[in-house]
Amino acid sequence: VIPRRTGEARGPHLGEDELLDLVHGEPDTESRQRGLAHVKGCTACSASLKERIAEQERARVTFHRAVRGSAHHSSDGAESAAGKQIPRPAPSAGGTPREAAMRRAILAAAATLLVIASIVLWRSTARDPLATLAAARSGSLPPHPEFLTLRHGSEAGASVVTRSGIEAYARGDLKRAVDLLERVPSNDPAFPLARLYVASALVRRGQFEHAASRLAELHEDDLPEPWSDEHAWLSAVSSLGAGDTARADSMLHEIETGPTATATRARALRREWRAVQR
Amino acid sequence: MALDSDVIPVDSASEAGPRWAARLRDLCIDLRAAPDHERSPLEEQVWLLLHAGLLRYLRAHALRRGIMTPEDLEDVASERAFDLLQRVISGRWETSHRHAGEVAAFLASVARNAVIDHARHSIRVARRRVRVPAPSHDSGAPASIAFDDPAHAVERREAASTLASCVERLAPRARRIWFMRVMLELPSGTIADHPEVRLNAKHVDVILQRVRREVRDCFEHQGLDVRTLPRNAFVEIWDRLVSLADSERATP
Repeated sequence: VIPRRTGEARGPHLGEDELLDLVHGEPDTESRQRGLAHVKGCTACSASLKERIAEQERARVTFHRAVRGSAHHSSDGAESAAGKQIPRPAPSAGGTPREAAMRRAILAAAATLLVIASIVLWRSTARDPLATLAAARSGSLPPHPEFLTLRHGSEAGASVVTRSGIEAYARGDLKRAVDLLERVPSNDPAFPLARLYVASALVRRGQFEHAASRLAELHEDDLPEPWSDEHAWLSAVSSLGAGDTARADSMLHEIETGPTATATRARALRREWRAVQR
Repeated sequence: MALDSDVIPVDSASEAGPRWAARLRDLCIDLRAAPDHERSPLEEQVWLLLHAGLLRYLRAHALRRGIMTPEDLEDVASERAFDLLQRVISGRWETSHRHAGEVAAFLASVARNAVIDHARHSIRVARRRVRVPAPSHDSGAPASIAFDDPAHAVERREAASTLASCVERLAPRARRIWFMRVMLELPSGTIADHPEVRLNAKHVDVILQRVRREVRDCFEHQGLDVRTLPRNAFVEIWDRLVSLADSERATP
């Protein structure tokens, strides 16, 4: 209830609703003027109004911090704590012009990505017959750990990780094999063979570029026979699968002319390759 | 908890309801009908009224239970106000067929549930039992009314009017900074993040130092002493600054 007389009049204070009307109500209304006249002469109501105005200003800051993304210049912890963890309202169907512009930018970026993905897919599809051929003909390395005897007589199988990786490779769990064998440190005697198995698994999974990078870390001299021949074979196959036909052709020719068992595989692969090209 | 006994009286018995609730209802209708590019200011106005209305009832409920700090109240009001704003925007809360009393009653209900939720989920806070200071006039006791001493009332109001004139001379942003710090006692960080200020907190402090000196010089130049100011001088200043801000906004 707002007293109609102000100044020294004795009467009840403004209620919460009337204080809210003063802070948030329409300006220049008669009731507002009456309320203001009362507050100017009433210390208690004046203090309450002051609290409400301060609340309103704090609320505006909270709103702008949360919704409008106003710059966080402040380092006032208490106030920040009060303003945080407030979800932004879901954008309306139309949104603000800024939101609309952002949506357009996102759509444009998505369209660009779609075009790029289509090109990549088209290119990968274009070389798909060769990649399929390379993955199918790459073959498997000798699977059992007992083959892991290094040139200098050290036992590569000493590492549990290496043994587990080779076993995973043997049972066809190529992803697990790659995960395990990639962990073999470079100072481990089994490192070159582990890398070769990684490359083989990657070729069988169609990851030719990745396999080529692993093979490039190795030198044939680091590997005992028959592993060094397998290194050359896998290098040729991964080049073919990756679409580097010139390098693949050169390497296969080199393998074919050699006396090793991989020469037969190379000749067979070359025949199939020519058939695919026709 | 005896929920049924926790009903806070809401001015909703009549269809008229409180004026702020009627304004909130109208703003919600305007917001729903507004084109996209006009929504932002309306969203802010709706949110501020939702926040204020919720805080009004939260305070009343929390006061009865004595379980929430003032900071808790503002946090809860903010969260619920955002939730309601989302409902308004999405059309899940339709106010067009509601009268102001219903709008106020709904907010009272939301506030009551929020306090109960807070009590249930914040046992630690509940144990602390920090009481919300009760506004003296809400107790319904009229004995504590403290009007100005009539012998000095005119003199003090003149002082307030002079101070308001000094503040009016300031640039708009400096004026707002001065009011928020000196009158509302808001911290620099909050003032810095205020949408009408948007400055670095340290910059706010620098401006404040300069502006305070200017206002004091102006005030003393009129032959007045700061000590003659009434405690509620801020009402006079606030009223004049609000009018001034409105006229500045109206003038391109």
